[in-house]
Amino acid sequence: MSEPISGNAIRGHLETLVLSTLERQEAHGFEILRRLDEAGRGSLSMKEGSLYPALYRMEKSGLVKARWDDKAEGRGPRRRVYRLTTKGRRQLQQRRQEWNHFVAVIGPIVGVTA
Amino acid sequence: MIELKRFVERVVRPVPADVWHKLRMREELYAHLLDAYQHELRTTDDLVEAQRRAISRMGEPKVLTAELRSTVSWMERWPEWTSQLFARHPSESLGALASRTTLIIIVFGIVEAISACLLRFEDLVAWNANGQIFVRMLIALLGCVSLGTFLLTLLAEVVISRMAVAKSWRETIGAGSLMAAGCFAVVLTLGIVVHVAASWSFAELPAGFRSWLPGALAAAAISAGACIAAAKERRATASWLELEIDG
Repeated sequence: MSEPISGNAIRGHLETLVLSTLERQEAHGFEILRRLDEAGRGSLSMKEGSLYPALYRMEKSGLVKARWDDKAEGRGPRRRVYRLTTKGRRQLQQRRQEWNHFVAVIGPIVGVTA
Repeated sequence: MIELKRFVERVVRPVPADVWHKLRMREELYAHLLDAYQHELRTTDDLVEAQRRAISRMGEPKVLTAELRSTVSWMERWPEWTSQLFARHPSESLGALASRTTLIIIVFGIVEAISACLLRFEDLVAWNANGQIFVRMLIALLGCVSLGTFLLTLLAEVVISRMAVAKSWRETIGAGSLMAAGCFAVVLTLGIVVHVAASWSFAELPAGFRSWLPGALAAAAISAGACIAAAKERRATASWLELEIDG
């Protein structure tokens, strides 16, 4: 098995990865990472703290919206649940197109066909 | 769980964001660490080891601080910098805090005074009636503002500390009234002194009272409100700020 994808390789695509994990259902930070880990079948390796600055930036630019999870109240710290906004969905579609284009152009150059 | 909290505080404390934004970061990171800790407990029975693993999953505190800092806008950093300038340092006495605050206000006051002198340069050089009134007002203003700042800083710190541990609204209102009364007295005195200094006659005292009364009332209300807000912030952050994060 090849080395896990980590560091800058993930950081460059972190926003897209987060957007896609939130596409079906809202989630808090730990759950987002769990979904990423599951989808990546253990081949993604990132420092978990880095997720939050990314989420704050995405929230500021209107890609996601956050709310406190009231269910957790009284049982330790509250969790903040993130959901995709309409702008976030549009952005995800756009990033997918860009990704497809990237693979279509670069793939044949490096000798990989989709 | 103190080590988990300490890690969070080490990361968040240096971030130049406002109190409520930082509280959100703390709560969110701590919740994440607790989840990670529970997750690690599935693979080890050693509680300390589980905590260590949970913390190491988050990454380097300094790197995370820098990443969080980059998400804070300049618009938010500026008020935070100002409030840090006037905030009480951990080992600072009440007197030292009041003196430091007064000194900062005096420095700002002197800069303002120099600018004002430049605008009144001709009157000052000619030393005519306008120039003399201006100098008297300036001296009265600087003196009253310095003394007022010193007294109000002492009072505000006492009131905020009292409000932060208040168990009922009655106690909060009592402390707030004390602040409002103090601020009212200081601002009204400042106004009257400046008024009398300008006219150089005690006959102007009632007129000074009348013209500064609305301002003093407004200042009293604002000061009480500001103390309530500051006490709320102090209550919310107390358990985090008392954590030792060095080393």
